[in-house]
Amino acid sequence: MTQQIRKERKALSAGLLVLPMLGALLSACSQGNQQANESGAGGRPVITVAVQANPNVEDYETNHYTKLVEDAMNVDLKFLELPSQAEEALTKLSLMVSSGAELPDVVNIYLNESTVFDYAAKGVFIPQDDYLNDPELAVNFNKIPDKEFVRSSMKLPDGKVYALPRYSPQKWNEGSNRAWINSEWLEKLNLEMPKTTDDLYNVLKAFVEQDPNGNGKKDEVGFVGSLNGWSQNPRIYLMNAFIYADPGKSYMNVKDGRIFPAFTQPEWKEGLEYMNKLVKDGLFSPLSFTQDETQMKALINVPGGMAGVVTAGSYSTFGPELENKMTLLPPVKGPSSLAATPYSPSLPTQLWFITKDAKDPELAFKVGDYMLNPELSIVSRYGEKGVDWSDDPVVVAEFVGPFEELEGVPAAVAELNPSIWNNPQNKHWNDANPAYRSLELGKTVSNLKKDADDALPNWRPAFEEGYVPAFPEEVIVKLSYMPEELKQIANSKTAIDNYVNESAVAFITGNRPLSQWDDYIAELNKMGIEQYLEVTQAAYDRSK
Amino acid sequence: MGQTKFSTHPTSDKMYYIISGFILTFILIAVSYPLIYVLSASFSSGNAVSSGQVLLWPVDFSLEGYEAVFKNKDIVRAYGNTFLYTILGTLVNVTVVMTCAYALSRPGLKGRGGFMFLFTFTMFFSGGLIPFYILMKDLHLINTMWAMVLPGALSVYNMIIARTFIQSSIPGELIEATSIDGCSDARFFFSFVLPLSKAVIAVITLFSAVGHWNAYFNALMYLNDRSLYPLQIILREILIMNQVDVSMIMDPELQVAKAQAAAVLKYSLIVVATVPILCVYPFIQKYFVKGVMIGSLKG
Repeated sequence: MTQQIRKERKALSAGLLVLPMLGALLSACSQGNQQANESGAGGRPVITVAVQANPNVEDYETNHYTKLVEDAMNVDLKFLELPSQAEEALTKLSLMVSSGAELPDVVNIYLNESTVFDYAAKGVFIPQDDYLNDPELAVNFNKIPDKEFVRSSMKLPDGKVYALPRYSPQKWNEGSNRAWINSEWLEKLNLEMPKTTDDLYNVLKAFVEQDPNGNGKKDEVGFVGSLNGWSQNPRIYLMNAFIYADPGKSYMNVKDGRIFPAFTQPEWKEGLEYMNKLVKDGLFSPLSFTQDETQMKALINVPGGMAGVVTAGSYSTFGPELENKMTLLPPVKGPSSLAATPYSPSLPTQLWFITKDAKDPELAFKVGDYMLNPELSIVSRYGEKGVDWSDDPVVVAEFVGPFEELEGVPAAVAELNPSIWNNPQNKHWNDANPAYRSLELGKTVSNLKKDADDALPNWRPAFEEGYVPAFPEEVIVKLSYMPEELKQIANSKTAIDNYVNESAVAFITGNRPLSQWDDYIAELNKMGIEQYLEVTQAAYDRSK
Repeated sequence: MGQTKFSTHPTSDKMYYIISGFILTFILIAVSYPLIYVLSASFSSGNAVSSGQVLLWPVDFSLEGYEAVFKNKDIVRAYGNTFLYTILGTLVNVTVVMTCAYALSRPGLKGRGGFMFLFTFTMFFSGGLIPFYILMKDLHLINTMWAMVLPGALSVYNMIIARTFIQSSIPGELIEATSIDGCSDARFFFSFVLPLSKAVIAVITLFSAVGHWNAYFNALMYLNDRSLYPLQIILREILIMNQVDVSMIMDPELQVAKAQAAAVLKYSLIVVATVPILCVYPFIQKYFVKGVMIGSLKG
C-alpha cells in the first residue's frame, strides 16, 4: 500500500517536473528556427512579406505564384500572416509598429488612405518615387499604358507614392447600380420594356395588379431592393432619372469644376415625390429600407417570381428558381429626359508598402514591380498558365469572347478553371498583390465555350450598351482630403450623410410630408453644409 | 378540506409550477432553437441557406457544407493544433492552479495575505495590449506554440475556487494527524489533497479546456504562421469571408460570388468546431455542480 502510493507520487512529481523542462526545450528549438530564417534556401536573399491570411490560399510558401516570383527574381519570399479581417490586421500591424518589433520588408495588405498617410508621416513606410522614376528598376510599371493616371491617383496628400498598384479596370464594376426586370412577366402581360419613369410606373402597376406569377393572389412586389447588399439600394436607380446621384461620393456632384450637393436640388425633391407616389400606390416595397440582403433573396427567389424589378449589383442575387428570367433594365429617362447611372472610375488599389526595416528596399521594389508584368498579372487572378488558363490559339478557338457579338472582340485568354476563384487553391494569392490587367484584356478573357447551351447569361455586353452610355462625362474620381480637413469635417460629414439618407427614406415612405422640404434644407444648413462643401471643393481641386 | 390541504400541494404551489413551467419551456426553446438551426443549416444546400429558406429543419438535404469544410486542408491541421494547445494548456493550467491553491490554503504560509493581494490585483489590472506584446516578443514566444499555452497559465479566478474548496473540504486536523504519522507536505498534497479535490479539478479542467478550445485572440496577435493556427482562427476567417465590404475591393462581383460559397460553409464549420468540446461536458458534469457551488459559497 505505502509502496504503491510512493510510486504514484514519484510518477506524478516526475511528470510535473518534465513539463516545464519540455517547455524550455521546445522554445529553445523555435528560437533556433527564427535565427535560421535570416538566410534563405540556396543562399537567395530573403524578403519577408506581411500578407493577410486568406482561407482560400492554401499555403503562401508553396504557392505557384510565389514560386514564379522567387525563381524569376532569385529571392526567397517568407511570409508573416496577418488576420484576414481588415481591422484586426490593422491592430496587429500597429502593435508591431508601436512595440518596436522588427517589421517585415514589405507590408502587402490593403490599408485605407489615412492609415497609409499616418505610417508614411511616421516614416514606417518609405516613399517609392525614386524607384518609380528609375526606368531600370520600374521596368514593368513603366510599361503600363495609363501609368500617369495610375501614379497620380496613388499620390498621398504629401505628393509622394508609397505603394505599387493593383489595377484592373472593368466597366462592369464601375457602374454597379443595376436594376433587373422580370422578362417573363413582361411577356405574359404583353408589356414593353419601360423607357421612362412613367412607363416604369405603368409596368409596375400592371405587375402588381394582374398577378403575373399566376398563384391566384395579388402578392407581387413591384420594385424592391435591400439595405446592405452590393448596390442594392433601390433609391439610387430611381433617383438617377431625376438627378445624378452617386452614394459612393456622398451624393456630391460636379459641374464645370464646382462641387454641389445633389440632395438640396429641386430635382432631388422631384425624385422623392416620384418614389413617394410609387410607395403610396403599393408599387415600391417599403421593405427595401429595412430588409437585408438575405431577407430580400428569400423574398424574391420563389418559383414563378415575386418581384417585378429588383436593384442589385450582381446577377448572383437571383437563385435557380427564377430560371434566368431576370433581364437587365437600362436606366429609365426622367421628366427632364435625364437617364444617368453612378459612375465610379476604377482606381488602383495600393499594395506592396516597403517598410523602414527593409534590408534591401531596392530589391523589394524590384520584386513588387515584377508582379506587374502582364503574364504574372493573369496568373494572379486566373491561376497556372496552361492548366487554369491558356492563351494557346488552339484552345482559345473553342471559346467565344464575352464581347464578340457586340464589338467583334474575339477571346484571347481562355479561362479553363473558373472555380479557382472561390475555392481553396494553391495557385495564386487571390489577387492580393500588385498586378495590372487592362480594360482590353478584361474583354478578351472568356469562360464561355462556343457550343455550351447551359451557360449562365452573359450580361456584360448588355450592360455596356445600356448603362455605359449613361455614365456622366464629368465625375468626381477621387477626393483626397488632408488629415486636418478630415478632422474638420468628420462630425458634419457623418451627420449630414445620415440625415440625408434618413430624410430621403422618411420622405419616400411618407413618414415625413414633402411640404417639410424647406425645413429639411434649413436643417442641412444648420449642420454646417457650407464648410463641408468648401473642404470637399479643396479636396477635389487637389486630386484633379 | 383541511386534510386535502396537507395531502396535495396548495394552490400557490400549483400556480408556481405552472408559471415556472411556462417560463422554463420558453427559455428551453429560446436556447435550443439557435442550436437546432445551426445543425439544420449545416445539412442544407447553400442556396437554401443564403436565401433564408431554412427555418427549423434542413431544406433540400445536402452535405456540401461538410465536403467544403474537409476540402480545406487547413482545417485538419488546425484541428490538430487546437487539440494540442488544449491538452497542453489545460495540463499547465491545472498543475499551476492546484499547486498554488494548495499552498495558499495552508494557514501556516508566511505572507499569505500579501500573495493573495498580488494575485487578485492582477485579476483587475493588467499592463494592456502593447506592453503584453513587448513582453511576448522579448520572451521569444511570438510565433511559437507557447504563445497559445503559457499566457494566463495561472487563472486567479480558478485558483480562488480551488483554494476555497481545499480550505473548506479538507480539515486542518487531517494535516495534523498525518504529520504525526510522518507525512511530508508534498506527500500530503499528492496523497490527500489531489484525490480529495477531484470535483474541483474537474471543474478547473473544464473551464480551462473550454477556454483554450475557444482561444483565438492570442493566436490572431501572436502567431504569424498559418501552420500554427488553431481551429477558431480558420473558423473566423471563413465567417468573415461572408461579409462583403465593397469599399475596399476592386472586383466586388467576384467578392459577392465568394460570399455565397461561404454561407454554406459557416454552419458546417460551427458544428465541426463545437461538437468535440461539447462531448467532454457529460463526463465532467457530475462534478461540475458540486465544484462550482462550493467555490461560490465562500469567497
